[in-house]
Amino acid sequence: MSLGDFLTDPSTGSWADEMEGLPSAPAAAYSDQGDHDDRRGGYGDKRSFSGGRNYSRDSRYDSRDSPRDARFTSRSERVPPTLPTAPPYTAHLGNLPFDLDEHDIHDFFRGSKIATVRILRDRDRDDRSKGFGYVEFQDLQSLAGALELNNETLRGRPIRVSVADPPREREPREDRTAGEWRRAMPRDSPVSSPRNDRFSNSDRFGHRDGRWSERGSFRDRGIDRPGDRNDRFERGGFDRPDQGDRGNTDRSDGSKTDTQWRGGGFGNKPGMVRERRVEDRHGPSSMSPPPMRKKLELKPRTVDVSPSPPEVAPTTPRNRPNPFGEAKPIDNDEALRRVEERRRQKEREREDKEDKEEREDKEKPEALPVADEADTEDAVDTVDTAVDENGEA
Amino acid sequence: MQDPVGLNGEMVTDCVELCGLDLSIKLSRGGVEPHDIEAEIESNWEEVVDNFDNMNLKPELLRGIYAYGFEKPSAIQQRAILPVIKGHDVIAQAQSGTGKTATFSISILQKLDMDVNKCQALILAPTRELAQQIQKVVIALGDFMNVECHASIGGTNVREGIKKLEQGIHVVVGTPGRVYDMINRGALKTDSIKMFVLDEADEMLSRGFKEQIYDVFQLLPPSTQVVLLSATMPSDVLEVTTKFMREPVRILVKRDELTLEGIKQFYIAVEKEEWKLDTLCDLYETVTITQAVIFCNTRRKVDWLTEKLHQREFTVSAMHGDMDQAQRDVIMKEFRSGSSRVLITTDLLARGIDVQQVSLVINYDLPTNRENYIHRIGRGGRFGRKGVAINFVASEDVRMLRDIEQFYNTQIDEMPMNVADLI
Repeated sequence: MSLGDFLTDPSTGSWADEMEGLPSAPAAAYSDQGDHDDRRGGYGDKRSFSGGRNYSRDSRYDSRDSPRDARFTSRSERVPPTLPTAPPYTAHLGNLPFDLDEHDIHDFFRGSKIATVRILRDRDRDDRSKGFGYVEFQDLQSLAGALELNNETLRGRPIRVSVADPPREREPREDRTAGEWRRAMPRDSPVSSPRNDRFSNSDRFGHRDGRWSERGSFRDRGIDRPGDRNDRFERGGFDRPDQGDRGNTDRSDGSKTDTQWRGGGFGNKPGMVRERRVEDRHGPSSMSPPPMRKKLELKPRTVDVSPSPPEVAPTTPRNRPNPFGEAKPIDNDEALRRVEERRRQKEREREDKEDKEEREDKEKPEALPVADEADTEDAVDTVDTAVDENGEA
Repeated sequence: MQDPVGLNGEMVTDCVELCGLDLSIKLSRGGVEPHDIEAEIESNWEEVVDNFDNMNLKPELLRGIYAYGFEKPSAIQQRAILPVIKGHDVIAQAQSGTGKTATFSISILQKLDMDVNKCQALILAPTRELAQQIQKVVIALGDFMNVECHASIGGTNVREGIKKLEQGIHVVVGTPGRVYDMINRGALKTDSIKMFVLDEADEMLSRGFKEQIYDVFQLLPPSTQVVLLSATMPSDVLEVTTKFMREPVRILVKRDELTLEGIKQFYIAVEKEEWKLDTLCDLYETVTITQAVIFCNTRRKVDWLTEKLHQREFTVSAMHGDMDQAQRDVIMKEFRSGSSRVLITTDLLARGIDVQQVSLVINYDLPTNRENYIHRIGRGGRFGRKGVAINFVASEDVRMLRDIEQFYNTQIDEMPMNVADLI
């Protein structure tokens, strides 16, 4: 195929297809059904090309149109900025003047019922505004009203007002783990194993059909992001449904809303208009806090600095059971050091022995050409491998 | 040769269940005394073996256990090792630092067929550091068995990992993402896996990990035995277990028994968030009496606090999940060796990590969930040692502290000025 043919062939598509996964066209473009369908036709033709790229050149995907269709439609559905049907009714504000503060926002939306205002600030740069923020309204009407102020000028800048993306965690997502976890059949059973039926969206999990080794795009699913662990922690905990049992009852979504249990905050969170109920009934100092911090007047240590652990957990007034039983504290680190040392020793002995054998081997057949060290080692390695293979065969 | 449990498992189980019945009758006759630990452990397994010698372990394994320094089994070891060896699915809860890692490690080692040079047990842990630590324990306990145990964790060289796995290993311990990857690449063969262990199980089955665990589970033989362990087992997690565990043996600890007597818990009323830093500086001398871990809730705050303390010329090190693995390894190594004494970190190190000289834990921020409170303060006072936990409480945190206190039925007093004597 010539380059010209290639470029004009409607079944191949163009480099631009690679962009299809990214947000591109303005929302309005898709609102009209007819328009939408036109565009879709265009993409449809190219689909096979990009599909082939994304899913490797694997002939398994002969029916690849259907999952792609599904993906495409779901994407177009996502695009229009529909008003939320349930709280939070949050607007995203963009292009804000940097010197704007929360009060200005309140003023700007005067007449609307505002729940909270938040301007994002950069802590590394003296809490400078990042030029965008969020306003949560108490009702849908207020949000709708606010949207009409889109492109209104505030301190000489046209402000962008749009519906904020709903909190990610709220999106109802199918729970793959809802059913029985244990597989009914061994994995090496025929491709059409019953568990395939459980996963209708086989485009995401196409690899589940028993061909493991040639896949590599696992990372796309974000399962092994480096530093993956902390992400979740920092989003503020687990947000389990049975909050009564699980602690934090005030996290509304997965983002950094460490509000009520707000240990994570840096103190005076700018823009946090949320009312904080301070229950000072138990408060260590329920009187008005002193204007100055009281220095801790710690007493010096009087006990001996010998790190002798108590025999077992001390007996207690509450007669608690002892989870250690009769077990005594052991020096884990020391134990591990000993084992490591022993392992190294064994390793050394093994190497010494091998070296010795090698040397003996070398000494016997004088004919073996001994050039320089490295070469010799290579030669010996090759011999070893050959022997191994023979032995196995 | 030794008879792998899989073959005679049923017979053994039957016999034990009879014993269990026996014991339970005796127990109910004996009644429940306040001193009696049975009263505080909810379990459908009654057999308790208070000596490693009586557990019918392989001689090489027993030797490894004693060489490690263990003399007598802890409460969880007395109860959980045998049901795991006998092939039951087991949910084992026990206080932090009471020997859960050794519990499942011993069980796995006992069940390994050393003539089979294939992966027979897979352990998953929530952090790379914990996986590495578990690997060391398995190797140490199985030292005389010549066990090969590989840590399959993110942030390490994939090719080297594959090579290691292909050389033949008996046990793999890892983090979910990398392990899944290794199975998919065909480097980790699952056909011989007979045990699947989830350490920090409630964390592993919480929202962030659940699907990953499910995915790994799908690649294991259907008959795989499942073992879950954690210091905290919230009810929703127990609920999930019904989807993949078969009539599990449950060894659970009541909530109000979760905090350890050996760990004294205090708070300092710092009033304002901005005053926490100065408060910590006042405490610095106390902090460095032994080793200390300071928990913040975000990586940025860890960085911020570390910088502030460095500015004031305090020596502290810091670690969180944004750092690359080589860096994390170095910091862990320095802290384990004692060359660094104060470590500021996130919940990355809240669970499982065992550094014995840590006797002080400071919650610069209170944790965002109740479970991690237990795990964090459990970094100090390992295996019966003394420990002190100090919570920095700004006025808006008071409610949360009271909530923790109530939830675990424990006491958190205002820090006394002679705290140095308690460490």
